[in-house]
Amino acid sequence: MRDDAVPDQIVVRLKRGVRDDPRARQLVMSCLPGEARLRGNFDDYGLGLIELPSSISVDDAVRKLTDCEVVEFAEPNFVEIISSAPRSHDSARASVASDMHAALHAAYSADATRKS
Amino acid sequence: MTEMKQNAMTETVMMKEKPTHFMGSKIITMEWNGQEVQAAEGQFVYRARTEGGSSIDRARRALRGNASVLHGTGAVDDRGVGVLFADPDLLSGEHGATIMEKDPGIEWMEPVMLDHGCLDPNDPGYSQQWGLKTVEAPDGWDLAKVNGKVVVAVLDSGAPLRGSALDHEDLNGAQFIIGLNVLSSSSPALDDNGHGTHVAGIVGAWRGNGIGVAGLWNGTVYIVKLFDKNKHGTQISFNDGVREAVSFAQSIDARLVINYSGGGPDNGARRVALERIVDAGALLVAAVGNERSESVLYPAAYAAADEHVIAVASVEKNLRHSVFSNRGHSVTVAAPGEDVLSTTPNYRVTLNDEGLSQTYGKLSGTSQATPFVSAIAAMVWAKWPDLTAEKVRQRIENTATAVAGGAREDFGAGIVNASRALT
Repeated sequence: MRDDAVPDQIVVRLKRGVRDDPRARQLVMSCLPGEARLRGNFDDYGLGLIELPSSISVDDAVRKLTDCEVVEFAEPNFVEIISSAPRSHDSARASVASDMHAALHAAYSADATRKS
Repeated sequence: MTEMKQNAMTETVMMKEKPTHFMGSKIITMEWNGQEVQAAEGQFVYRARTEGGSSIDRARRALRGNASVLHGTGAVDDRGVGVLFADPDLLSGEHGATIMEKDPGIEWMEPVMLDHGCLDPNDPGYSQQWGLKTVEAPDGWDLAKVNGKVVVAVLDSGAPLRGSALDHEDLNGAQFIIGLNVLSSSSPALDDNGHGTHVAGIVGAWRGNGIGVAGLWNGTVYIVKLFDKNKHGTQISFNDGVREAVSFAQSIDARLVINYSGGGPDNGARRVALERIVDAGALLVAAVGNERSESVLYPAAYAAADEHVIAVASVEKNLRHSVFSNRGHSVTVAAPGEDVLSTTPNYRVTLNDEGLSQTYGKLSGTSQATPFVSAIAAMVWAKWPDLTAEKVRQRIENTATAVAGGAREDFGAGIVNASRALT
């Protein structure tokens, strides 16, 4: 099992020219076990997300669909992450942020007092 | 006059000399409530009554035949406060205020008035926002014009919400539009991590309201949630987020700047998302990543071959390359990305466990540098709406401040500069 992708999902794109043809969807799904499910539908750019049953691996499903004549590409649904700054910076910042927060609230309190 | 009303109406500008324009509008002298005031011609702050119909519809009705002169999304914050922009040739500030006050759907309405007695924005956190001075944002604000036809879509971990409504004292509900949670379309785009709120605040925290921090951009910000509380999304959620942002921008006939902090290797779905961006004529501003790597993450790395993408690296306060910021030939520009003070959720989120404070706090990363560039790109587009996305990028690059002795792989064309980009 790969750790860079959702374990039971693949992303598929239909080739241009067949995206509006309902038979393309049927052809794609016929390459996979019957329990596989297309979430929603293929979108306006021919992209679809398929949920796989445990009887087939992501890599096997990708191989099968890559050979399908209506498929432009099939690939795992890769995990996307927000890139975090190193923790050493976070730790150094924590006290600064805390001080700043206190200073801001002091400023707000003073401002509120002035306005009231 | 209530305190809230006073806060909503009064903008403070930072100028070394007496300004002639504010946010693209001529500054006029007029009498208001028996006092001579200076106001931005054609800009109005109003409060809508809460019952029935959108506030912009009410405003249009109040202006009768002059509906076409109004710009704006029609959104108001949770207290009914919104901002409208009108063509100054057709509608002077005094005339517009008089007309709108006759409409029973408008509780009050006044010109945006300016206070020249103070040289800095009156947001208490402003003095700590070193990045704004570095990119010469104050001069940029004076040169900027917001016409309501540019939207910055922040594709991140969501926004601070209570129910489905925006809930932060320094994020203006009239400016922020809460879009889809692509991870779960039946759930609101609630920020349960904290990252999205921080990024959104850098783009557009309410400037000049005497609270919190100053944001760069005071036009429309559209929030799409595609990262969960652990900062995880998928390539399909990125594609869905781009589709949602493009759809929203097209629905209001606006130019679109997409701000994105995620990344990873190249893949097919990501290229489809780029295809959408190019087809829509939008601009993607993306973080290069924080892995101290010699290569830039995708989608930022597309900037090497496609001018619809800007790849943003980070610099520290003394303008050196941030040690965590990835490097590479696709870096387009750099921006302040260390110890950046911005808004954070006022409830517990994942980043609180890593030392981030509630309501306001500091974070570092190329994620923090990226919204500086997104906001400046939006200001450029608002001022010159006929530019293509490629031309906006070129303007950002050509006006960046070159770093003496700095490597192209670290800084790209240099540190982004709002003042020059808008001149």
